[in-house]
Amino acid sequence: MTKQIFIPLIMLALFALQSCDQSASTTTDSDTTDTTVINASNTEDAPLKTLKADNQDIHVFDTDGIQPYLNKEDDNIHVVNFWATWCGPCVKELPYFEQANAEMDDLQLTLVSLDFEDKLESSLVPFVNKKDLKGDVIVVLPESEPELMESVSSQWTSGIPATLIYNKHKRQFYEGSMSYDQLMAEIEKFKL
Amino acid sequence: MLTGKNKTEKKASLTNAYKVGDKVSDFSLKNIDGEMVSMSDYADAEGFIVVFTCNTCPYSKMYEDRLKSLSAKYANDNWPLIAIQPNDPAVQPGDSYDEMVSYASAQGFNFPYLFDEGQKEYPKWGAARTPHVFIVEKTDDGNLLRYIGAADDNARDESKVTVNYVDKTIASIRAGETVDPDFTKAIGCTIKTK
Repeated sequence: MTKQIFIPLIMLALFALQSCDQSASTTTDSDTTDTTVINASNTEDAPLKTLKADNQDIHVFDTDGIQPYLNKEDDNIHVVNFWATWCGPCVKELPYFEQANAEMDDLQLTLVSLDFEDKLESSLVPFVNKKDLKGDVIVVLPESEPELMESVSSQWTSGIPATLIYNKHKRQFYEGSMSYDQLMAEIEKFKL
Repeated sequence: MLTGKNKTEKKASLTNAYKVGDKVSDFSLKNIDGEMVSMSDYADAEGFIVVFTCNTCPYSKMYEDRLKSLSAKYANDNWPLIAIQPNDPAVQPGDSYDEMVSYASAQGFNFPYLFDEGQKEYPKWGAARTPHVFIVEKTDDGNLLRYIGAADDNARDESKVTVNYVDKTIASIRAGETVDPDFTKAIGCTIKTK
């Protein structure tokens, strides 16, 4: 899918631009195939680790590491859903987000899992595979839950599911479950 | 992150749910040993550590050892820890009374673990999560609610806790000092109800 390679392409392009800007003496000895160098391109923090699902890489971050996902500057409508495999209401509403993502080209869906570190391989990856999730799945392992919540929205009283929708002009936070209709109605408000 | 007073959580709190400073009514709820338990059973108590918690929530599980420690620590100091399970078993079968009995035994709970039959008790307290901690001081004026919120400031990693709110609250009450913070965000699962 084009979305899946969009971000890595941008990162590669940025890296290519960077090395072009450097003086000739550094390009000859730099190893351009090193992925950690790509991650250090200043646009995004390197993940703590990356898990392999069948259809996507799942990056694992701390609270600081997910901030770029909450502050992208482009023309898309960004939908960031906070969920976990152990949260029944979260799992129930995932299909609505996936459907919205499939229907809209200018929508970027990020599914931030609050699954626990010792359950990522045993629960999260199999779940992503089973549901063939197309949204960009990332994991946040916060040092402090309250700090994570504050960094997303001062309105977050710590429940999941919770959803942040933003674009260049608007930012809105919703705590609690959403039906498909509610989700689409809220996304509608972000369309120009 | 410490928060001072915070706006009341919208979902579970009724307009007349207890706030810090309120007098709380006693309860009579069934313990896992079949006996009914009330705060008035504890004639010598200085106060109570009331915790709404359950079998099934991962955050509750993360706090189990800490609840056992608190219970052991404060039992002889007359601050009994009393756990109340607020979920509706029809919605969350893993939290039925029978499951509570076997779970408490398997986990070695050293405190009363009471079933909120009909889910009538937790709304009075405005409990919104599991686990959710309420610290009550026994006074001549009745049982006063002195703290609402999390047990400490790090759910996932006990070794990274910098503030134990239960210890801090009880210490302040005993010293006659202001309880600060008297409200923090409870981190955990929503209470399961129809």
